[in-house]
Amino acid sequence: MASNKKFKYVVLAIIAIAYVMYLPPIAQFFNKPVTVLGLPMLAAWTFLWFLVFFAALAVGSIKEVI
Amino acid sequence: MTDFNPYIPLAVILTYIIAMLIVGEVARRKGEKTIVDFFVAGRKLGIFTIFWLSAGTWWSALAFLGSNGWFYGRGITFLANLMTNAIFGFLLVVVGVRVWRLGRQLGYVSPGDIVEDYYGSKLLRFLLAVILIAFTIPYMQVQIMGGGYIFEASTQGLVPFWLGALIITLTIMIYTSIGGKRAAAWTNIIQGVLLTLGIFIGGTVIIALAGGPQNIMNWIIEHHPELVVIKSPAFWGLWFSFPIIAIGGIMGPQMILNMLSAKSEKAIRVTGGLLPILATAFMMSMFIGFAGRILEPDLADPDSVMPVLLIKYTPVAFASVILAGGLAAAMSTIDQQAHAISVLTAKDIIEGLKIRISEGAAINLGRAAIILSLITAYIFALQKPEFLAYIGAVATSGTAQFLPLLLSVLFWKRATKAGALAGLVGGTLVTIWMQFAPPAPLKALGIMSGWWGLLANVVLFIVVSLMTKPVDPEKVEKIHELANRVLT
Repeated sequence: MASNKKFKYVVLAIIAIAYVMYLPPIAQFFNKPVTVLGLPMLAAWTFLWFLVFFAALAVGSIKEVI
Repeated sequence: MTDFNPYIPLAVILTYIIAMLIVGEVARRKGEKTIVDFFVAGRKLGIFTIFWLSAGTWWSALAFLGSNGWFYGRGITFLANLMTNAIFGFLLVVVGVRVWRLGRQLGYVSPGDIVEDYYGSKLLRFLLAVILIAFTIPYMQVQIMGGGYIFEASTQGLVPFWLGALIITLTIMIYTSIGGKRAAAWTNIIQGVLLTLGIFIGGTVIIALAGGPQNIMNWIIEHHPELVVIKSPAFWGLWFSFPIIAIGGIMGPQMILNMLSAKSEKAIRVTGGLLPILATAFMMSMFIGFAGRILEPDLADPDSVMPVLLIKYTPVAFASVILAGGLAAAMSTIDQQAHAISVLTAKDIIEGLKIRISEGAAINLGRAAIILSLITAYIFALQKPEFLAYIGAVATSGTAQFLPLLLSVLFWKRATKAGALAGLVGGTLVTIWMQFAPPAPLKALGIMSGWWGLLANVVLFIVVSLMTKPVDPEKVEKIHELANRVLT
């Protein structure tokens, strides 16, 4: 049970970090008219934090810790 | 473009509509004449149904048309919808699972059941229903408009806007009023799959027509670099505030009913955990919008970019099937909203007014509410005056005001009835104020009205709660324990 609780906090922390990555003060660093791996820089950054958030949410939900 | 035969898309669309009516009739035959069955499908909807039901409810014509149009006309800000969808999934898991547990154990069938049982207030039940109905109808209007446009664009005017919108409205009216939640859910499975395939397959073809993603990006960077950056502080405010759409979406009565209709907690967990992956379609929308700039640079209406590209550059049969996905996107939202209004009317408005009616009368009243709400939304859709676009935008900001109230039932022991009323009413009024007459300095920040409403809502809720008598501690303990107990 204790490890379940730890896992829950890890999942929530990753989700929180992904949310912070989305916020304008950080996202602005990637607001440039160039491409990265074929995507606009801001889009590549956006997709990255989305994948992090989504992975944590999917695992946390299916493992029933959130 | 090859010779265009408008009867082909008409035939495809009519085939889809007939299929929806057949599904509605089958659902009616499978149903029981009880409130639990009409309102929440007997709480029997499994994982697959809940997933596509939620996808169809959440994704509307704005996702199919408006997203592409935004990227075309205003650039990359719309990618904030990835966060919107992530938050949607998160709230579905954290809130939805607990709403389901309460519904299963305490017999709730409406949003009003949840708040009245906790706070013991018929006034709160009544006001919540009125507010949710008031903010849902404008969103229905926007969807009917979207469906009408798709009908008209697909048939190149053979079916004019007013007639296409009418056909959609009548179709939904029939299958939802005869089949209730089960009909709305089963049709949503087909609609959800159609709209998802439509975006991905249609998008793939359009991107290929414009030379592929690398070619699109090179062209955009060279000719329109302003589309790949966020241009002004107001757009950053918009980027930040997009998730209010998720909050408003989850708090919409149709999503609350989806939570109450599930067969198991797992159905909601799997849906919440995996639904955001569909949001990757917005990356596709980005390329569709940008491809539109290459292929059709002078569109008067950016929202028409996908229909125009499909009709002009692809075989008409292919375009018709893909655009049927757009119609499905609109209808899958409207039917859930109309059904939700039936529940709010027949359960929450009636009980809020302390009127007692039989189950049969409640179901018939619900059917009448479906018909009336759709007629109202259709009439609004025909007007198409510009200011109603503002009302469409405020719809999710308005339903979002239910969030503090619902969170208090699930998690906060110090909430009071007076605090709940103050928060709900105050938050709603601030939302309306900030949408229609915001002070210039606040408007310049670009933050959507719902966030200001939520701020006022939460502040009023907390301050008034701390000054008034809390809910009976035994009631609080019981409901919190039931909400947080895992059911096997």
